[in-house]
Amino acid sequence: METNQYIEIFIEESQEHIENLNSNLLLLEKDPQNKGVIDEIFRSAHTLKGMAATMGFENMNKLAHKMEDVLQEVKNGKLSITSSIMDILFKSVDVLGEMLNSISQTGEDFPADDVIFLLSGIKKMPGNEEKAITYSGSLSINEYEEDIIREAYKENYKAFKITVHIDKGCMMKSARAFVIFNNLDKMGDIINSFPPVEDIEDEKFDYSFTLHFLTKEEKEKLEEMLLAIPEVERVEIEEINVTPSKEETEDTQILEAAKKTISQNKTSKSVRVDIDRLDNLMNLVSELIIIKTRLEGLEADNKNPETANAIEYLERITTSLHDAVMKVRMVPVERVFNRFPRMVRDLSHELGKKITLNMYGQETEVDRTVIDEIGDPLVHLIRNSIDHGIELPEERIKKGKPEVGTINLKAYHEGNNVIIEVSDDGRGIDIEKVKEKAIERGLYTQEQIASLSKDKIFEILFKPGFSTADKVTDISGRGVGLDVVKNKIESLNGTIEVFSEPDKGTKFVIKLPLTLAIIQALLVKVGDEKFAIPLNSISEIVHKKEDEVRNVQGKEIVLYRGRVIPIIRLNEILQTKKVESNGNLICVIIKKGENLACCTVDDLIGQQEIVIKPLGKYLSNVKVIAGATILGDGQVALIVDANNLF
Amino acid sequence: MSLFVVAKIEDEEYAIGIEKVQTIEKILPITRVPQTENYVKGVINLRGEIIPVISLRLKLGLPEKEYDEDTRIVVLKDYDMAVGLIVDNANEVVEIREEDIDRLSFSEGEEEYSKFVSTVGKIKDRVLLILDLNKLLGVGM
Repeated sequence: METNQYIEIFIEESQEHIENLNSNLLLLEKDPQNKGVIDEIFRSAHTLKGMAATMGFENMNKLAHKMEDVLQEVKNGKLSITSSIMDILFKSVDVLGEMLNSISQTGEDFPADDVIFLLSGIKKMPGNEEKAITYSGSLSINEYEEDIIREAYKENYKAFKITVHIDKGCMMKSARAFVIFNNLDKMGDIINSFPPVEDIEDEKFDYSFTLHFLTKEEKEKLEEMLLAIPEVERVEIEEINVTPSKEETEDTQILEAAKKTISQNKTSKSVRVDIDRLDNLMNLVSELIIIKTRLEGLEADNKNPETANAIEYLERITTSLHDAVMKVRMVPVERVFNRFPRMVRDLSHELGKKITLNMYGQETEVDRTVIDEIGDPLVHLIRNSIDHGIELPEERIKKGKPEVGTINLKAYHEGNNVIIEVSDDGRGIDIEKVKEKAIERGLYTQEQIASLSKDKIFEILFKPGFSTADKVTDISGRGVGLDVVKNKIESLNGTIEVFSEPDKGTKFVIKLPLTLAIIQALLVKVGDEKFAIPLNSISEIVHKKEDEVRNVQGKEIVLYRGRVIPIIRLNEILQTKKVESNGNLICVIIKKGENLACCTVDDLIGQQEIVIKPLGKYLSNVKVIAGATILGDGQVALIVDANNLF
Repeated sequence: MSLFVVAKIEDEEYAIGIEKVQTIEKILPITRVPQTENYVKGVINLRGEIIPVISLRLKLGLPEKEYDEDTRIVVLKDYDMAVGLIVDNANEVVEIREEDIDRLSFSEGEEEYSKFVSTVGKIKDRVLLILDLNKLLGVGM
């Protein structure tokens, strides 16, 4: 079969399944009895196996198959989860991921006999003999089935053990059994049966079989129903009583949470679309908005009520269309967050720390372009928290903190921004150490440092080449830390702030625009040309007199709210015609972090939502221009890159 | 046998391989872009796409000429880059046979255009200078 055209889909889907496996394995580790999660893991492994086989990746197929075998045992309750089994399963998933990487790079997977060997060894492990509570010689309930029964009790279900004897003269006993199973299914849930369902289907049973059944119906009703089925000779029904477990409440919560995630996974139906096509769609919609604006302009002259109505309708449709297309481009941050639980687990094991990761707002949606870029910075911050922030358990106990450290990852919308917070309850940033290092690295002198405020000192953390880690560890402290994070976030038009209290913890707050494609901008005139300045870099617009401008060491400065800030003559930087000054200056105060500057413009046109379009590769080295936008009349206006004016 | 678009500057005929030509447009409003070379005239809005345009005249070291009815923007496009070339006129597509294309043999720096032309094509007694777009735009194209 010609499979080349499917390889991308295969890789993408497999990636999703591997992510799923990872997150569900983590759930399983916390709650080894959770049948729903086991099923989900089993399904993912099964699908991976099938896909790999179809695509002809034998090694991947083999590994997934082995995993499936082990999971089948778990599913059937023949194997219970231990930490060593978890480790092997995690390892297998890692290898699957590596194989997938290798497939996307070289087109081939690789043999993984060592992991397969580990997987095959699981069954032989000591302590994994069947731990089942025997009810009768023929049918038993194992631990997790018992759990299910316990759960069901709370919802007023009753558990029955039913033995059905079929008439010896029955010709097609499997068909009869099928009818019985079907009827029972309508009244409740069959937990298990003896012989197993498969055997019953194959007629591999005598004239009777036993099953465990959950229902809200009464015993009498059951009996009546079963006896009404032809060729049922006799039915024995007894109620099963299980003692409630101690951890009941806790279990329910976890179970319910797991159920919830699983049902969510099932309901999302989706179509895969190439991002280029979405970009194209977005472009077309922008075009439509531009032409609509133009029509509105024409209509103002025309004054025909019919046209006015039609244009108003058009306006409404384009607005909804625009929103709809924007939404299509949005993806939940879950896509990025998903990899963190596993990362935290592995790193904390490695460092001997105990850490819980709480994630909130995974459903918060962000433009696809932002999502692709935000992963690495977050990895960095979380690694930092694990490595520098959270203390070792002994140290935490000594400090009177809970032994287990917490890292919170939060995402939420705020206006036109998305906020992502990474916080920990670790030791916090050691200000003295930061000062020390800053002097050591020659970034500041002793005197300079002394005069800096706490916030300013935290800012030093973002300077290139700065790291407070004494030892360079594998995890962080290689000196390529926070400055890279900051650059990345600023390149996305975002900001990052840090808050920290000694022994209480550290919090990083990242603020990102919802989308990079459409922004609010201030349209201004410089000379006789129109330019757009992104609103998020403007702090205020003020009027100044030409004679308030001072000249200090060849640089023009002006006093603004008690601060001395530089003047940037936009007409010089943008090389426009100089307009005769009447002594008044229109100043757009722009900000970059803490820094302010005063940009002089010749006229203000107004605020407008603009669609950012790149200038193209040929002009990619023009620093002061961030891109271009098309105005309502089809004219192109350039977008000033305020960050590059400083 | 290859097809070329013929672009005119004064009386000189330049040939541009047709596979790189996306479209030929009459002059459109141009928005100036600051801090660029003098031959970069700015950007145009080509049906929603922003495309930088450069003046072939200025690039060849010739004086500028006012745009008129004949002025054309030849939009060159490769998979990740598009550039418009402003020329005096472009209204012909010609076929040049492989054997009629010769390497140019004048010494370096003799004429400004020699920097961007390394082959010429002949059709009967016409001589067309074939533009080397890689050299002209200074980037892979």
